[in-house]
Amino acid sequence: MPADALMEINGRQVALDGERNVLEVIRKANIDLPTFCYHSQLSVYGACRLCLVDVEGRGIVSSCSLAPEAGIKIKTHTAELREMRRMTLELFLANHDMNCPTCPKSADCQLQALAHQLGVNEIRFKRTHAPKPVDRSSPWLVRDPAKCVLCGDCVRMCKEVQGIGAIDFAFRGAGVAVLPAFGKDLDAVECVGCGQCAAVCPTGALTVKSQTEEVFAVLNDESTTVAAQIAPAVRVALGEAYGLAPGTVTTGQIAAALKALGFDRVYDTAFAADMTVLEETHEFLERKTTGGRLPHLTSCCPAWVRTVEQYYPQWLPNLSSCKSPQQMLGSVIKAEGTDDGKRLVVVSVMPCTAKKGEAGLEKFRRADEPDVDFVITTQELVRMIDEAGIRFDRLDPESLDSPFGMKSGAGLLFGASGGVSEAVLRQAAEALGAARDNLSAYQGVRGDDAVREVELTVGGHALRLAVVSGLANARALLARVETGEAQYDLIEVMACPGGCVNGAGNPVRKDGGAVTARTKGLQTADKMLDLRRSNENHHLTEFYDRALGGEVGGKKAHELLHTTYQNRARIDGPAFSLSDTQSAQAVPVTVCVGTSCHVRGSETLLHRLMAKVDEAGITDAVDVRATFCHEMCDRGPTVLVGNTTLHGTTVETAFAEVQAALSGSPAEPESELVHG
Amino acid sequence: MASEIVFTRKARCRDCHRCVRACPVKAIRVHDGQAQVIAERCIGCGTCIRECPQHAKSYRNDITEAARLIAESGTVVASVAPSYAAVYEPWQQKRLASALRRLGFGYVAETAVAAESVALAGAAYLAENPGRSHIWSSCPAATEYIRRYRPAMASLLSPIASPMLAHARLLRNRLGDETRVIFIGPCVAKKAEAERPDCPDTVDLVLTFEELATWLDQESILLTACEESEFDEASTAARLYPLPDGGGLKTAGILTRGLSLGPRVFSASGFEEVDRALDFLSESTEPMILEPLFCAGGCVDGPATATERNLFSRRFALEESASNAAVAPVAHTALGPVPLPATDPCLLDPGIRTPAPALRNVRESSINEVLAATGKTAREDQLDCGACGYASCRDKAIAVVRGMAEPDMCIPYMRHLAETRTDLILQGSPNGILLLDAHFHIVSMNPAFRKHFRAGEATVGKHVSVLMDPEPFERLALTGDAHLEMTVRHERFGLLFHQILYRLSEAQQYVGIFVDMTTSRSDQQQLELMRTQTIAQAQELLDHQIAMAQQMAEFLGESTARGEVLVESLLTLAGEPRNPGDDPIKKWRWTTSTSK
Repeated sequence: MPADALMEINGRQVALDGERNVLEVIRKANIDLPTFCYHSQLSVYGACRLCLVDVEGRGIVSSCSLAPEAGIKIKTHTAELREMRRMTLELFLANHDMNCPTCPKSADCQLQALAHQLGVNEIRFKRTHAPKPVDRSSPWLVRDPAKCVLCGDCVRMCKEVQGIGAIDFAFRGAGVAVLPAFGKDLDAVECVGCGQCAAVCPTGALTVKSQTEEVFAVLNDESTTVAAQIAPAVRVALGEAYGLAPGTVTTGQIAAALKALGFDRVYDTAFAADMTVLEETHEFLERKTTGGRLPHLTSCCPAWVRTVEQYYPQWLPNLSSCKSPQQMLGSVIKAEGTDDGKRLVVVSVMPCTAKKGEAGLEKFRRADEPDVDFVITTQELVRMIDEAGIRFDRLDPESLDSPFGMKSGAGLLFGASGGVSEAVLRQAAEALGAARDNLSAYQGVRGDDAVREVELTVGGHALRLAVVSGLANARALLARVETGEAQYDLIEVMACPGGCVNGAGNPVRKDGGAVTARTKGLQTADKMLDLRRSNENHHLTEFYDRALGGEVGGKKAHELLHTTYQNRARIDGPAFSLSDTQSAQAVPVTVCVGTSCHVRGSETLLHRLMAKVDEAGITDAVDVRATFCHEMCDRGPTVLVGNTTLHGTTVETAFAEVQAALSGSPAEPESELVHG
Repeated sequence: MASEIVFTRKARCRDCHRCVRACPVKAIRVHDGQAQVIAERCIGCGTCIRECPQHAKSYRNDITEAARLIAESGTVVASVAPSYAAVYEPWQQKRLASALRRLGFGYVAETAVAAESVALAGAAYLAENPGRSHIWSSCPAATEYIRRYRPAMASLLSPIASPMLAHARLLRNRLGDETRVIFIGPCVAKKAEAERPDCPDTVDLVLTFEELATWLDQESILLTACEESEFDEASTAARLYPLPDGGGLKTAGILTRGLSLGPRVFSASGFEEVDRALDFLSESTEPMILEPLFCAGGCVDGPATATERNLFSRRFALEESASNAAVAPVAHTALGPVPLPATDPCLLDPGIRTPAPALRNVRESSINEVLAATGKTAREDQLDCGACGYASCRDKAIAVVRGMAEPDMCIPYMRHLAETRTDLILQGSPNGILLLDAHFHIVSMNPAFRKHFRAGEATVGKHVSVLMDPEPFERLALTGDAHLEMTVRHERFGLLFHQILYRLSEAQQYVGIFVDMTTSRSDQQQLELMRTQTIAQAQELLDHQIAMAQQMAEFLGESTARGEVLVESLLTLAGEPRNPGDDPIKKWRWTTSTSK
């Protein structure tokens, strides 16, 4: 397109400058055409019919799907277009439940804003809205199909940016709906909890599941001591709800607001990020120097961890065994306990929806207590501050509490894509004895590109790093690694584009600059701190000395700060129990009846094993179940007796193991423990 | 002092001399009504900045220079005076280091780290030199005052470096010679200290807390939007240092002589106290140790603190943080605790004992000349009122001789001068001027009035009605008009006056100005008459000329007609017959007579 190419919008000449579609040209000319289905980072869909324009000689078309062309003349607000837009909106509303005042999206619902903007005060059509059940199954999101306008933003976000495709359009014509596969609940499908669908949803059809009521309840409960932890990315975004520029650090005011809400202690998740840096650097360097499994994959992002568990079980050993900072701090706070005799409750304030699911995982409970009791997002905290009537803009900053309120700049960097890598590089340089003075040497991992590759030498070691955000990008990168096309020592993955600062729990901004500004805010804050490396955090080193035997990567650190992962390549229900036993102590025996094991005779094995159990008169003591797959198909038939996995099983070996389990000693010394 | 640190903004200076009055060393010159700070005399204490009601006093702004240093140098250290803990609210203190790093400082340190060493070195020096008096001070205004204005006592100053100086040297020892150091504190005099030619290796620049606030403002750095962070080196040991009542002595662990019979140890703060303490010390025969601080409230009340906090809130904040400090305070740096060699050259400042060049002496005769010129020859004329800013008329005269003051700064003299001038105007006026009191009794009259109204001294004090109808004055009092103007004939004196009457509302007095119109009025009547007569004569002449012209025309016409009749008769006689009704002469006559 020539540089001086012009098109005419409402009689005014507007220069074309490589815009992808006419809608972008119109917006450049400071005319804000309404849209539901257009997002610059997603593909063009053209479904909502709100961005219609009148093109001279061609009639009415949607501007988002029209390529800019020199010389065309368009009008954006003719009488006909106005009428069409209003009618479209009325039709949307006729099919909407319209319980706006009680809708969680009420404050920033685009549908509501648009009805106001277009002056739609009455709906001339018959209400066709039919009640639909709300899906509250997921720990992250609430899906209310009655509020869906079928714009497809969530579908495309999940598929195109995150590469997951947990939801899609189903049915045809008037029955069309956005649903998880087979109409299942959201927790029964491959959703990883990143929440980006809720961030793009223009209405209240997909919202973040709130835990504010639970948090208010423990705050009002005199028998509890409530500790909060604030994630790095929260402090550079929360101020936006009170008119501050994106990237403005408001840690002190957030601490003051949390104290005013009744939190007894306020800690910094960045303290645990520093811990992660120490543990993860130690783990990474050990792998690097002893020929361990590389690339080392970071494990801070729970949506990414879930993605590996679901799609890349073969990469699970590459995943760092470090808990995410949220979980590390939760377990550390709970381990330290409180001396006031009250029940200690940990509430984390996160920019993230996936953290809600992470905190609820069984493996993050000790002594039947979750390490993190509740997770609220930045948006939920804003709502709590507002409900409590706290004038956030007038608060004097307060301090975070010792010892877990202390952090280094490295810990703060975790909030943005590239931050974990930079923090680990600083620490690796320290461990490898590289020169101390030049911290800017590791800034190569910063940048706006979704995928960044960095090669550098630290303390004599050549390191190849990849920093990637957006799960679709991560999957594409991993595909290249799998084919051997690319090789890395360390891959940092953040599910949300740009990292945690763009988490779905942070205030949603339509302007793209906010993510960059928030990232810059964290990087500036790092530069302003006295401590830039995680090992300089003296409260952290004191804690290691006091509680972790002074050893990074040691036994105690592993107990408290590391975790294991679960292969979730199959998403299915529980195994079918074939026994009649009522006993809770019965030894579980799970026989795989999946294709590969079936071919190897697992069904005959199952029947014969049951007969043998009957014969031995131990029916009550054994709970025989059939299941589908243990992902060890090449070694079938696979049978699990208690926690022991048997491969190439025969009735004899299985029965021997059952008898051994009943007598209390394992029969097969070479049996293998399963992760998780 | 090399360059001007304290100066006056001309547009704002309004001639009040408050700065001259307040300046403890009279370093302010008044020239053409404008106060100017004379660098050679100024000790930089900043008193005038605080005192000036017009905020016309400023000190050199070094923000640009600081930004340049940061842009052009490697590591630039911020050495922050201990007063920061008094000036800033607790939440601000915790964020100050972050904000300074944001400005570009590579290393943020508390000057207090060095203050502790300085205090210990001072204590060691005092112990090593018993049996004589000492003045020990880290206050640059106090030491400069002694060096310039008490030169004889300069030798009593302890040659111990100020914490600012010592810190700069210690920092360069640790971080390298190319390290730049910017001191940030509440003090303007520190700017001068940083430029002392006799003191090498000191800080590169001094900023005040005010300048810091402005700079942060310019860069849009809000303390509320900074993460908390710590100084790269900090000390709680010297928290009391910037307080009055012997902050340095307390830090060093020496204040009172207690039970031991050591020398008396005392402190003085504020100029007056310092001055008297120095008098006391110079007269004393017993050895004593004095710690002077030039600002009355100590450094926490420095002229550039930029805080709204109450002085005592500032002081107690420091005292509290000192009492919360560890029992055995040790200064910590990012590189570990500070070593304390008692004879570390970093901690010494021998140059401080050199007196500054003495001021030129003034000859007694010149002083007397100035006194005489302002009418103060006699001792009783020297009021020593202090209104000019100087303590005595003699001091002011000395200042005039030195070119520091102007003769017209003396208010009693200027008043006398002004009164004399007013008097001359009244006496010389050709118009009569009368002054009445609130009850219309005559207060005074000028010679012209006395002459017109033939009034003598005896008339003074009498009611104005003895001379004229008091009605216009009464009207003035009743109506409240600002003034009245009228022309009145005073028959009794045969005179006509144009009189202007007005009220002096503040003094409740009435003034009458009487302009004699008697002569000028008769002249005008004469002129009027002449003019009327001239016009009448001119009219008469005109009428006469017209009548003459008409008569002449008639004569001319008649003679022509007669001539024609004669020619007619001659033609008839010659025999030519004529119509008798067609007589042109008759016709002409009729026409002319009717047209008239």
